Amino acid sequence: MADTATAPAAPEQAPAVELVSLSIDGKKVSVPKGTLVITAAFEAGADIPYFCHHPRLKPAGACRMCLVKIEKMNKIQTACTVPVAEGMVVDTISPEVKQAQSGILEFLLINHPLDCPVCDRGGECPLQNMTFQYGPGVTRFVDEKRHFPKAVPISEYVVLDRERCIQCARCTRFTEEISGDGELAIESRGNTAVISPFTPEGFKSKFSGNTIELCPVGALTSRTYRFAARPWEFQSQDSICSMCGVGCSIAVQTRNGELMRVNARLNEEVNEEWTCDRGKFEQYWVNSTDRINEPHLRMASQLRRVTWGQALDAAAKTLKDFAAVNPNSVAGIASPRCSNEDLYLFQRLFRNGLGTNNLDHRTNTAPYIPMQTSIAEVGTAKTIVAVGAEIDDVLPVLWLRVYKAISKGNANYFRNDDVKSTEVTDAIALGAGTVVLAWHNIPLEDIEALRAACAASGAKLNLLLPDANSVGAINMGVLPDRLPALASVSNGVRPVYETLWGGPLPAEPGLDTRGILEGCANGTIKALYLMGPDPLKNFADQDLVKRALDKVPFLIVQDLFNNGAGRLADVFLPSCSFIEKEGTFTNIEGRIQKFKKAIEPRGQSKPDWQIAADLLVRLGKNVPYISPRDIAREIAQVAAAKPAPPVGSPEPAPATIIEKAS
Amino acid sequence: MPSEQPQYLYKYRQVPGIDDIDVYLKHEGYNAVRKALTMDQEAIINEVKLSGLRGRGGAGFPTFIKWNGIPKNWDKPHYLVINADEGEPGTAKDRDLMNALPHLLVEGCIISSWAIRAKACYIYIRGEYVQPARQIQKAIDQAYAKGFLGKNILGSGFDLDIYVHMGAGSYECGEESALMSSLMGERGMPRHKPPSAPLPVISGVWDSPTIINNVETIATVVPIINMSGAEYAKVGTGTPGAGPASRGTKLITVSGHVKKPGNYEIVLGTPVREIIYEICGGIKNDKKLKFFIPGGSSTPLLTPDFLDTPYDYEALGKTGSLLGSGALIVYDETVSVPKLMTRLMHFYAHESCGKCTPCREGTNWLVKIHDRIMAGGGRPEDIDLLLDISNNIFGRSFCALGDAAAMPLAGFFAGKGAIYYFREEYEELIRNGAGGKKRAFAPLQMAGV
Repeated sequence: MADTATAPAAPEQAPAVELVSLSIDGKKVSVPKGTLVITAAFEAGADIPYFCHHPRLKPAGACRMCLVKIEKMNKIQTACTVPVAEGMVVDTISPEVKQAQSGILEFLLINHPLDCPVCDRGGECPLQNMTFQYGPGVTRFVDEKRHFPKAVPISEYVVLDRERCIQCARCTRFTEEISGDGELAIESRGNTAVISPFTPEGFKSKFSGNTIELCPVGALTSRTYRFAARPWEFQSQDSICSMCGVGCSIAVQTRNGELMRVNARLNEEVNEEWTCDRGKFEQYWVNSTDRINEPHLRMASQLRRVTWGQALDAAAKTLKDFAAVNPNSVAGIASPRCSNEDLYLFQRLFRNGLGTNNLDHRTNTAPYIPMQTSIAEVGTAKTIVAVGAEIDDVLPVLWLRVYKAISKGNANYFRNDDVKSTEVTDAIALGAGTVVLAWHNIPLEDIEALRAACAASGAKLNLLLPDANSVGAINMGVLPDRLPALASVSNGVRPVYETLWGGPLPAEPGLDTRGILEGCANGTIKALYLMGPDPLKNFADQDLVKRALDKVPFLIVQDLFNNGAGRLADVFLPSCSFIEKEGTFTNIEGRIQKFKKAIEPRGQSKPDWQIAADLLVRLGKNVPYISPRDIAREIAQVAAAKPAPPVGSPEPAPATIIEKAS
Repeated sequence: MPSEQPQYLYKYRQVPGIDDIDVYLKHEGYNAVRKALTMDQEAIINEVKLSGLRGRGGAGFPTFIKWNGIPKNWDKPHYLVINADEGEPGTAKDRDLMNALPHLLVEGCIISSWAIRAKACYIYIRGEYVQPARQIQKAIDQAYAKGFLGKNILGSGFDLDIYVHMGAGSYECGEESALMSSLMGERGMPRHKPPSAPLPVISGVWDSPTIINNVETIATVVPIINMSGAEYAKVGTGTPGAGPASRGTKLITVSGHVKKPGNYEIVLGTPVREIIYEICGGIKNDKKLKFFIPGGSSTPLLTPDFLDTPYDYEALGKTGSLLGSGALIVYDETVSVPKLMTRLMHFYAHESCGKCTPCREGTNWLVKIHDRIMAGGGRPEDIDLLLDISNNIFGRSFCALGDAAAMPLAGFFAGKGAIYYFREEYEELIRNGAGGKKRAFAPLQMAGV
């Protein structure tokens, strides 16, 4: 808001927007027609207190806190509901206005309990702040306050305190207007009105955590953060959520090396200001005491704790020995939840260090088709077809865009997994206004059919990949047939990489995930290296996984937890979570976003890139990397060296990835 | 008792069986519909304009201006909604009209729908009005049977359906925008009004042009069409067409300490003294009049000094009160004003929808203070606190319910209300307690804020 206010050149730049001039406390401002007075006042630098107003929710006018005087209107008006008009004269500072605001605040406080010292909202509470700024010093209310049972859990994550509630209806409006589930409602009326889950089953929304951040008091608080910390105690670090491919901007809030809370961060292009409950509440695995923080080596059929040197030496020596006999007897599978820098070094380890293209990150053979619209553009589609999965299950925050298209743009949305059905083909035939959201694991022929149909009509096909860095793993070349920046391993670009990394690179495409696992099972692959959080968890043929892991002679597992493959490992290398390292993720739309380190790695655990770098050193390679930024710089260099097309720069700016991997 | 006043709505009120269509048809029944369907829309609205008819629900807004606001070329359907959610304490005129003369309302609905080109009309009746709703439904069914409703009414090519919708017992749903929410199946809370949102006449129910009028307003259209607007406007106060005027007749409900309480049709401008002492036969048991509330419980009370005020919109407005819904409540010398106000405050706190802060919290605070005063725990500063709370509610709540709660106590902007006229009664209660029992007031132990 502040930025546009200080841009006087706006009228020339945007002639299509009709501007309205008005005066706020004697200051002239010009704002687009339809702007609310409160927004215009903020642009004019005025300070108006408010509770129920929220720029992403429809005006409510419920709390009455933002009362202002508007000339020619006999009643005092709420700034959050009145649209600007030409020549309007608004007064936000006169004693009459201040008296009115103070009167409302007094009303809000008469029934509000005085439990700020034990309230999780204390210290970051709008009501507390407004009271300090605008409120009366003492109360005139001497009667008994309203009482309700306190701290009622209404969902797995949210706890409700109806005594604190000021009935601003932000939470109910969120569930109606943003998440579309309508799970919260106001029950009863008048002074006894309370917020309540709409159904007896409770607040079942996948986005319930947002209401905690929206609540201007401590009425809705988090169960996971309950009494855990005070807001002034922790440090907040900018991060990117690692739970799915949307890549929401989050703030990771930590105290004494422990994750306390995850809040949403503003990112208009991706998550606006929302998170899903998975991103907000299910990140506490980073604090888990079950994490394995020391390297382990299998000795006499027992995994024993060893030093990093012992573990890395054993891993490097064995890999080197097998590769010396036959480079294609070693293979690696990485998790697409690792950062770009991790994945880049992982593929360099295999190609440059061991001389094989046997590496992959995928659990199925879906082709890579870059998203044809951005996440934000999904919100403006006219028809949206979901194929293969419920969007709110797999990529929850993308669902918010879908619902935005439904609620604001009256879009037609449906899910139909039968791509040959007339419902789907008719929707695609509508052309450019149609967006198909296809989940990555639908059958290959369905993907081909959708691609052909969309290409013919101009409809947009978005093949949705699941993980935080699925697109990044493709771009970093963690594929049997592609180098970083999607260069083919077989064609003439390869020498660029050979020069850069020093040494020849294999020209033959390697084995994909299934091929690697089959190789392990039939004995042709002697050493398997798994990097990142359980990369085989989502592989469809778990029987093959089991046979492969049982059979392969040497298994390196680099993970946080000793589950799945970790139990069978010959070398276990403890890696750290994304909040303990720095790096970049590339989200489903190809946007490269940086996350920062919030806490130090736990115990002896290390970032994945560092482990890969340590192994490269042991394989005799030159690894001039001190931080992930050095790797990012090299990735940019690689991308630039490759003739065309380039991969985006590793900055949190929009990037386009063109060309597909087959 | 039939009064001396001209009776336009109540002309056939005493005819036995007038709620049946056959009897009604024998007494000029549906003549106005036959006449109106030959007139064009502008002509009907012009008759309403000439009549000087103003909204009878409480606000007194000129009806023809509202009707003229309907967009002329509009691709959306138009709706007529009848506000029969008569909830204002002391008001029972619509109940009587619907019970006794249901066809008058149905006929008015047909004419009004024709005038605003509505093809659907909803009658929103408060949930407690079971009998009136039955009567109206019966009248609607009979009107369908005789061809006054349905397709191609009387061969005019005009189609109209009337639906009865019952409320669920909320005073707030008598507020027109909350009524629309409730009618659409939403929570009965008020909606944005200008300048925040367009008027219902542009965007009302289902985002379509909507006219909402009170039962009596719509029923009055029938005599206006029958006798012509100019004829209707012959009685009343003020000059038609020259500034605000109160023309025609008004149904009023007189209740309280009078000998003959009931619903009466009076000419606007009849002095209050005449209504109380002649039409209603004076104060019960010949006691002294202490005060009266002229237009329903939301309007500030008036003392006997105002007995000669003409009962019309302008004259009552000048006294600091309002004509409101036409509910004249009369109180004799035995009434305790703080006790009455305690009861009223309970009513408004109970009926507050809870949407906005001043009404939700303020009305409840007024209740708590009144309860405490009545229990003998009043403090001298409570009286000014009551005025200050009322002032903080008035004009700042989302809809008029907050204003309605603040007005009886404090008048407009803490002007002339119950406390202004009867402050000494509050002081006496606070000094000596209810029934002489003064209790020591122990404030709750609490910190500063």
